[in-house]
Amino acid sequence: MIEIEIAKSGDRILRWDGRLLASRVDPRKEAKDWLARRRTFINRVRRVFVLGLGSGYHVRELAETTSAEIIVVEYHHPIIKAVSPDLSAFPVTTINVERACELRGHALVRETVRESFVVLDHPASVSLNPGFYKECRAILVGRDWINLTWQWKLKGFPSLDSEPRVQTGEDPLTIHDLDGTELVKDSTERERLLLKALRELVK
Amino acid sequence: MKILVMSLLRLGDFIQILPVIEGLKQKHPDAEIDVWVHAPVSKSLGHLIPSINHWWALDRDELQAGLGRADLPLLTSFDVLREQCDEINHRNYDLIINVTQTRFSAWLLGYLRCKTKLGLGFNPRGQAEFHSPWFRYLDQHADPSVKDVFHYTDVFMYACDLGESERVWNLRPTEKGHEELKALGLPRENVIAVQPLTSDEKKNWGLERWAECLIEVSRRNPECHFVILGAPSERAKLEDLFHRLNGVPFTPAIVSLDGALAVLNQSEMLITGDTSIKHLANAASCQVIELALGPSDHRRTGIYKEGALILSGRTECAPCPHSSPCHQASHRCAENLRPDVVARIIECQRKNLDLVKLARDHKDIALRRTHFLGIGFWYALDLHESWPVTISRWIERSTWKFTLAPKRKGPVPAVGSEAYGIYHALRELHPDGNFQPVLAHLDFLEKDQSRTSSGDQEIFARLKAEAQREKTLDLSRLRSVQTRLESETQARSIRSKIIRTLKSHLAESS
Repeated sequence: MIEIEIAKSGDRILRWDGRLLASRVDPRKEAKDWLARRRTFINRVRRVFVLGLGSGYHVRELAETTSAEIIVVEYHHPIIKAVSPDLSAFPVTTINVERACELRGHALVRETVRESFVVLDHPASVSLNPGFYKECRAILVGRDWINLTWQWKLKGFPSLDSEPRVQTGEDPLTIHDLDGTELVKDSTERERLLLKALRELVK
Repeated sequence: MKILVMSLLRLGDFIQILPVIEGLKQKHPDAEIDVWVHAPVSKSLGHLIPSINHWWALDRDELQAGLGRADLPLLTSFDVLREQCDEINHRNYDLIINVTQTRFSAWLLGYLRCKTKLGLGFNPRGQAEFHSPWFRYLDQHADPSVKDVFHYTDVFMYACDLGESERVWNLRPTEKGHEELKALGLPRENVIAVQPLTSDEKKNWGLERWAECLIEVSRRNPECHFVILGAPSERAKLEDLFHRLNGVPFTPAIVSLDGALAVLNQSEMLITGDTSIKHLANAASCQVIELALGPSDHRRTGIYKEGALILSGRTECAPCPHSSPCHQASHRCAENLRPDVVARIIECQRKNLDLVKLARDHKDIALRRTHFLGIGFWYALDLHESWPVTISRWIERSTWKFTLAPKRKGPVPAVGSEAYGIYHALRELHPDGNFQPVLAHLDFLEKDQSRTSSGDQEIFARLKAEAQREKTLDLSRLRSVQTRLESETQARSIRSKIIRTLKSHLAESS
């Protein structure tokens, strides 16, 4: 199942079911490029979720760039076993679940969604289990009504609506959808002021 | 004491309010003054301003990205903003001043907890609270078509009760700036700094016109050496100008803000349409010529420096709104500024020659000279403007100053000194002038005051009578009319006193 190879750069890389989990040429450079395309918020948020551990180079690169705590969601336990020792010096926690919905009950995930976070995909890992990671992403990104209200409740705020709204269509939710909620329209809660402020940025 | 100043717009807007920070520092020497700015502002300026204790950086672009990109969690922008606001709340500021005057900043000020707030804020019910009549004034005068308006720096100074303080731009030259200047190897004298590009296409004069103008300046003043300022992102565009300046002595200067400040301190003059560099020049020793094009509204954001020149092409559409593209078939405000005329203006300014004739000969160019008047505000005097118009505006501004001033116990404000200040400013700027037209205009204004006064009383009486006749007494409407009339009456009384006193000073002197 898991194989170890040496890249041209001399770095150790992993192969799972015959599929490479990092560049065969220079995995460190690949990790730098990966992060360069995903810099939004990484120095502002408290935690960063990474979907897929791969050969670990992207996680290491991220850990060296941000002071945020890193949580890696990985489906395959043997990959965690193989890569974790290389990451022991960094503030990285790995979560191994078999079903994405288990994330909702995970203590660390529940604690994380109370505060600011972002979600970064590792494409090579995601391609091994696309359905699983798609579901994980949906839970964490909160751009559908069920996951959004779950996150909102965990933050301890008054509910967005007294009656749950049914999302129509496949389009992900946006700040414009929040505008229609009772919290933003009618309440005098202080959170409303921040949602109104953000709404001004996309007018 | 802990003070937070919120300025969440661009670099130029922040540099423009630096006298507020300095004024607060003078007024509260032991206070910790923090600022909350757009992230790139703190990055560029953080090390240049010694009087700021802590910089809070808000990354507006990142917040927008978080809202617009479906791959990012919907609540990340909300969480990031909330966490920063809560951190700010934990600092327990005694005073928060919002000099941003946008709806975004107003919601944020509403969220922040603080005993004393100044500036536009929204309460949880979405109602606007200004916390100072000066901020209300700013809101009421937001329309670009208003006849006259105070400069933003003055508005914020008065709003913070710093109106009488000196306007100081305290920027510390840095080693980095010095090194960048040294690397340019500029001559010691006759250096003219030029910033040809701005962040807004409508404010750009056009590189072809710049080239034509600089070639003409160089022909008339061969001793001049130009230094062409630009940001790294502008380098490619500027290459076109560099090619056109064949034979003209110039040095390209793609430098940081530290470097730009050092360059300005070594230059005798800056010519620019760019807001940030223009305001930066307030802290440097050079003269300034500003090209105010497109949405650039010199009355609110013009170069504050004493004796600077502001040039703009006279068009009925200027200043235009920031957000929309130019609706004219061609960029008329830029076209009206002919490069050869601008070159002559630069020469006159350098050699301290009379500009009035030039202004008279080129009526499609508005040529204004800036002054900080002894009566406590900045004014850009149009060299083509008639003195009665100028005097009317000064009287109006002085009246606003009194009506917007915080209500204090004690004697009635010194209207007489204000009138003397106007007289003094008039004498200074118009030393050999014939004051007869001004006196005649003041007579007219005085009569107009009493006529308007009786007119207002009639309107109020008619409204009251109508309401009583129809037996539908709309109390709130009547009350608002009454409040308006009361403030009008107060303004009229101040205005009348100023006019009378000014008349007597002028009559005595002539």
